[in-house]
Amino acid sequence: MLLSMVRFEWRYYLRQPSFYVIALLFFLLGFLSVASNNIQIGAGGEVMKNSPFSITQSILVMSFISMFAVVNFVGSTAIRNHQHLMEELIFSKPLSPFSYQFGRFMGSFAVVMAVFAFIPLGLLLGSLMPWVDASRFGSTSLLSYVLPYLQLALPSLLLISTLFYAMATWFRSLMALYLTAVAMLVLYTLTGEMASQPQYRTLAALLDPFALRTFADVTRYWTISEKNTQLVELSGIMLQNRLLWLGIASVLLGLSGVFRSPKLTKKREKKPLKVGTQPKLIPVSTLAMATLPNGRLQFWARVKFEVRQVLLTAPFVVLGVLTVFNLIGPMFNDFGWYGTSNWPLTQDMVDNIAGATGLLMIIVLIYYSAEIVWRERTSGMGDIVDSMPVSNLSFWSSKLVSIVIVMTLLYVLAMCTTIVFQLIKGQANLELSQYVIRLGFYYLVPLIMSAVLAFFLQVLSPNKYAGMGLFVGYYLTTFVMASWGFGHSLYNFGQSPILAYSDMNGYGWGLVSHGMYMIYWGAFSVILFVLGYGLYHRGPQQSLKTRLNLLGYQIGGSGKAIVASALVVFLGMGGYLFYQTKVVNQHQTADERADLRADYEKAFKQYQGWPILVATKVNANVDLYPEARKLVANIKFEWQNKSATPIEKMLVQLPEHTRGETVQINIPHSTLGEFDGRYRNTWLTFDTPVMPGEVVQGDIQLTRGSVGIAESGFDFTVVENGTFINNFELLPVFGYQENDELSDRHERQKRGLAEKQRANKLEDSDFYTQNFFGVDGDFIQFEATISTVADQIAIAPGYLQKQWQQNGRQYFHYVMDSPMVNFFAIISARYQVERTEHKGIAVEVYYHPDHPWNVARMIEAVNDSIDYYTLAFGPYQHKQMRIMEFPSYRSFAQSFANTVPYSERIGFITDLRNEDNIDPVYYVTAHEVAHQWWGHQVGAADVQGSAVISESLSQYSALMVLEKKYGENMIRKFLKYELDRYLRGRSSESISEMPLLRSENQAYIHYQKGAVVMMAIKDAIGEARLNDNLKAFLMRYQYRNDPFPTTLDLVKYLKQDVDEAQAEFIEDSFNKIILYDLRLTNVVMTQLDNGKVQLDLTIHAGRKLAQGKGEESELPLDALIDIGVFSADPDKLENDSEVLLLEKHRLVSGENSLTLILDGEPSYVGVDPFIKLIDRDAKDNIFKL
Amino acid sequence: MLTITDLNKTYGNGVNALDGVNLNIDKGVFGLLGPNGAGKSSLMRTIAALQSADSGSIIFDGIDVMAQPQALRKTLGYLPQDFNVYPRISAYDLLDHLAILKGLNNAKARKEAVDGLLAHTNLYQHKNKAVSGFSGGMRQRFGIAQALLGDPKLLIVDEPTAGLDPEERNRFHNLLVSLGEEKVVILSTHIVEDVSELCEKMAVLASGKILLEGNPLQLVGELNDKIWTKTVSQAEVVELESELSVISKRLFAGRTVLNVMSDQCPEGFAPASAGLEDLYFSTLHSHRNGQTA
Repeated sequence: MLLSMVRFEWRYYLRQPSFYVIALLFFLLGFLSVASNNIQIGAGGEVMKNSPFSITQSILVMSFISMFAVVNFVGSTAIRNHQHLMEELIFSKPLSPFSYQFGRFMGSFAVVMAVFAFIPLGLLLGSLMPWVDASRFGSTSLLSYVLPYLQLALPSLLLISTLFYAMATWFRSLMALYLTAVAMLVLYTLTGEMASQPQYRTLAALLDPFALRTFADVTRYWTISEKNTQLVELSGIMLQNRLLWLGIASVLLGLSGVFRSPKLTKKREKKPLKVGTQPKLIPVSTLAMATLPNGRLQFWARVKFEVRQVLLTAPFVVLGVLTVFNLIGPMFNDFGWYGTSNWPLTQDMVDNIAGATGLLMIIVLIYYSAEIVWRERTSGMGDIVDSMPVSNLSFWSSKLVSIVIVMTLLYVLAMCTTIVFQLIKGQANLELSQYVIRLGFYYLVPLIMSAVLAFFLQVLSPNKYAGMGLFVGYYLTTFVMASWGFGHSLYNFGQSPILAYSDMNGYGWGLVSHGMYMIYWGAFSVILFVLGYGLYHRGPQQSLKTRLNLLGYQIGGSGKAIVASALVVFLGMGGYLFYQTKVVNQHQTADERADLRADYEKAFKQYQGWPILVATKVNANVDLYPEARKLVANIKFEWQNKSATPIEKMLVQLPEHTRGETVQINIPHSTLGEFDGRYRNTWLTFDTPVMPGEVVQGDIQLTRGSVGIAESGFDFTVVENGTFINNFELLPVFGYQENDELSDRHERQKRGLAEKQRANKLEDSDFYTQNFFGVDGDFIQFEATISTVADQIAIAPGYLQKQWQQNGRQYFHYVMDSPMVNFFAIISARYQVERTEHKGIAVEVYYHPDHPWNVARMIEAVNDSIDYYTLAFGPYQHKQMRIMEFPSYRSFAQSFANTVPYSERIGFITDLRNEDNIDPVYYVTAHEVAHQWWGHQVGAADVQGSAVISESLSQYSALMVLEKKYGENMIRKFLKYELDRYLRGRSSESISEMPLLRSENQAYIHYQKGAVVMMAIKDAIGEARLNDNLKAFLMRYQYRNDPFPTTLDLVKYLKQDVDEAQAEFIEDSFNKIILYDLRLTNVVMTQLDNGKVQLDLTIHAGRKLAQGKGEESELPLDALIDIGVFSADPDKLENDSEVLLLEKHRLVSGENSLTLILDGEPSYVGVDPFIKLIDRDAKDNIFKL
Repeated sequence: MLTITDLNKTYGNGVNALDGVNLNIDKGVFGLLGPNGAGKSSLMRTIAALQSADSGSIIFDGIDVMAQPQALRKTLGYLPQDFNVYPRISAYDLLDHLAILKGLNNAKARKEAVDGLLAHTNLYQHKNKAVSGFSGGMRQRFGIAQALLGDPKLLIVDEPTAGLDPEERNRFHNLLVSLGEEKVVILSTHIVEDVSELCEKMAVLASGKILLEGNPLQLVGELNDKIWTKTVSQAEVVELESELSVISKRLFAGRTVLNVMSDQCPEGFAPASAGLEDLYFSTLHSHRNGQTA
């Protein structure tokens, strides 16, 4: 009986076309993801496309998509009898409930398994195709396909199937299944949010029903070589996750009554309302009244009716709940930078809403467009309703309006949710207009167009499932258009180049360009609307061909006129936008850009290393016209030939958004050629060569401005409110631009270019006299005169000498008193200013008036930093420190001489009210101030490890200031983030991890590992020793370019006056990639007679040396390492009294035994409890008694 | 009032649903009788402007149905053969909604009409229940109520009494007859009794063709003295069927009553008074013979 039920289901589905369609689809998904060079899941860089890691990742990602197969097979098995009114026939047969229900389930599950097997099959066959890029594939191992399928995917499929079967048996409706799917996706998203914070990762890994977070958790710190060789085992957290979900699914299955006899679907009848007494029968003829069909009344009656049909149903309520749930989930905790949230600004709330409702809206479009368009046909009421004197237009438009109302209501619901959140959080500036404009105009308008498209696809289709399929197909293509070279919004229905909102600069030019694109796509939607109207089903179903024949008649003369005029608008606007974006502004596809960069390298690489003029004195005159997004610059220079050879000519590269004809470079006895249209460069030729050491004077004039409408490559530097442009962006640059070379190995190989080294070799002394800013990054004398509109303040490095008004414009004249690196910025915005003074130094913050929260904290951080750095490393070189805010289009903070521009996204909007959280504002400010020493006082030679000198030392300096203010516990918390980010960074390394000494602009090394290593060195040799050594290093290289220091010099200074073990530790920390493996394997506590407590610890200790791709080998360990005993969880220490004991003990490779005698009874023991050493698994360092 | 001229319709699958249909229908109840699949519903839907014909014309009260479907819909009441309703909506709300669509704009008058029609169809006490939960007969009554909305001049009812109990059926028949006094009512059915009870005029439709048209009494009169009957055992039936033109057989107390049509009385048969049923069956019988011949 059981087997025959299994067989019945199996055969049933083998006869369904859906089996073959889905199997083919799955095969293609797998096949294309490896066989196409455009698509990548999991792999990247040196991780092979057929590595166990990539295969597992692909299989897990696809288990999302498997939900649709599960709905189709398992779900439809569960509700088929109900749907086809077979229940009474089947249930009257003598059935064994278990074999009947379970047999059917197993049968459909077998089908799901079979269909899903096409994914690994596709992955395998795809990797064997002759055209694939062989450098992205390793050797083929069948096990890497079979094991993830059996161990990871099958449990996923089983639990998804069980869950869906249970839900379907319970609710007997397809919508219940879709909503289950959505709920699982919501859970997946939420676990993603949680996984961004280390302390929630285990929970996230446990809760993700698809096991992707679990996979991420297990493989988080995997290196390239591990990814290429290791498979994830079904053990530990992975096993727990699978068991948990199988448990949940089986409980649901049990509750849903699968193991009981099947019962008929219950008909629930609500108690009807009381009915008044029946009126007297009036003859029908007297009831008669004139019928005067009124289009407007009918239209609104239909709208009301359709909206009611949607709103008053369980699915919509669930959708609403999911929307709210999706939004408030992340509100409950701090998921921001270093675990600290921002103030709930409306700009973020709108982004959250758009993100949280993104998929839900697609589901609404897919599901409700089918429901609404086909309502008359599926309800069986079509003949009656269609015989009413209602025009097709009323039907068609009321249906569209109702789906629009549904989407609007979801947005309104989401909006109310976030507004309540804002009010609770005390953010009273709600900016309702921003909600309306961005949600309504940026998001809802394109969704309305998508609804028109979905409707149109529905009327083209013979039934609603085909229509849903067409829309899903369309939706999937939107993800790959860009990789096929059709990324331009003109080719992507309903899209426009949306500009992010900035509190400072508002909508910028976004409203205009979005509006233009919406006219373009709106016209197209009007055509779809009219055609859909013309093809609308009325009366019994007719074939598409019949309806197409009648199309002209249906839409009539006015319809044709509308289509014609919409077509004119569509083509006209399309042509205009094409001209604007491709001719006036040159939009390029990713491939075109890569080709250009490759061609540039091929044509000009030969000139690399040719000497160029280096600026030594700059006097900038810049006039800003913010409302026109334009500036006019006239900059006087003094240049020097610092090389050993005469300069006859040099390459000049045009800056972005600057037309060649506006540029003049006036140097006596030189001629500037015409700029090349493609490479945007030309030659500057000297009649008489500039001799080594010779100084020349001249000036550069140019006009920068944005014109017309652009699809990409916006100028974020010169904007209406919040201009921030640096000299490399503003000015033509000299010489061959190595930065423009392609860096990805595969992209280079495709274009016939050899592999490229990321940085100059550490030992290459040719570059020791070149600063890491580039050839033109030497020390200069600087002054600037900036003019801007009357209500803005313009800023440049230096001290304000004079400020005046002229012709309604503001002028500012700045002069820098000491030499500074040739790296300056020009800034202008409507600022509120906070001016203070600290020990003779003016500390000023220029901020957007709506962002006042953290200004005081920044000033405090500046004061504390200057105090500490002055004491530790030497005096601050300027008499002034200024912080200014710039719009959120770019999110970083950058340190110029006495000037630190901060993005709106960093610091200014952080909510610092929870004192338990890390204070990122204080940290970032301290870090940027530290750059005034590390980077501005001391440069770095342009070789491997250059960023270590500026960034790792600034990290260390900032952490010391942070430690003074917030104490060691906060630093431990902070370092946990840094260690995690370092370990994850090396896991997603695309080429090869370098030791700290040779970091090749790898942020995870010079920021994160740098912070961890510097703090470990501080722990080993002490703060005073370390600071003295750093001070000595700084004194030696302060303002020196002959040569600039390298990390070799730094290490040499760090090792001054330390003992041999310490020197070796420093040497190893910089020169090698070292990983510690410390585990507290056992602790035995004995109560002694004298009332004391004896602890016997068994510690496993090890040290490993890793290679660039992660291969590890053992290194001997013999070091003093922290052993701590605590009365509370060391992760959550509140005060120092909870640390009962913290001392260093000598540990060697292998098992170590230690005995400690304590006064009181502890609850936690730990080896290196504060993770000062780099350890991949920090959890096993702590032992809970 | 309603003139149908040379109406033809062939479906995509090759079925010739309407084959040169010509009809002239005046006020009163007109019965359209035919077996399942005869094309009755196709004809009804075409008259109701729900589907188009390949050729021919339908004129009602000066309205060209094909060209001005909207004009016809204003004055049309239509009860389809089988229909279902939107889920989760009460009888009153649904009828009220349909009344708005029909053009009953005045809210007060509309309420009166909706309540009145619900009372007429004996649904008043159920007005707040969802129609989708109604039994077959109740739903059919709701269908009748909505067809009467807005005093239509043309009432098309397709198999209206299917599923009604005898009492309801009587009640509905009375209603139809009273309506027929001032409207064109087209009643399509395969139940001969309905036609004989209600209609002054009728037509028989089979394979898309009108086989017979006229007043039922007159038409039946033509069969007088041509129908003969005999009660036989099951075994004899086969033999007699091959010899005689048997137009109907029915069971009575376990034996078969055969009716045959013949100018003379066959041996062993007794004369029978001709009924509409005999006329209907003999028409279909000769039509089928004509097709096979």
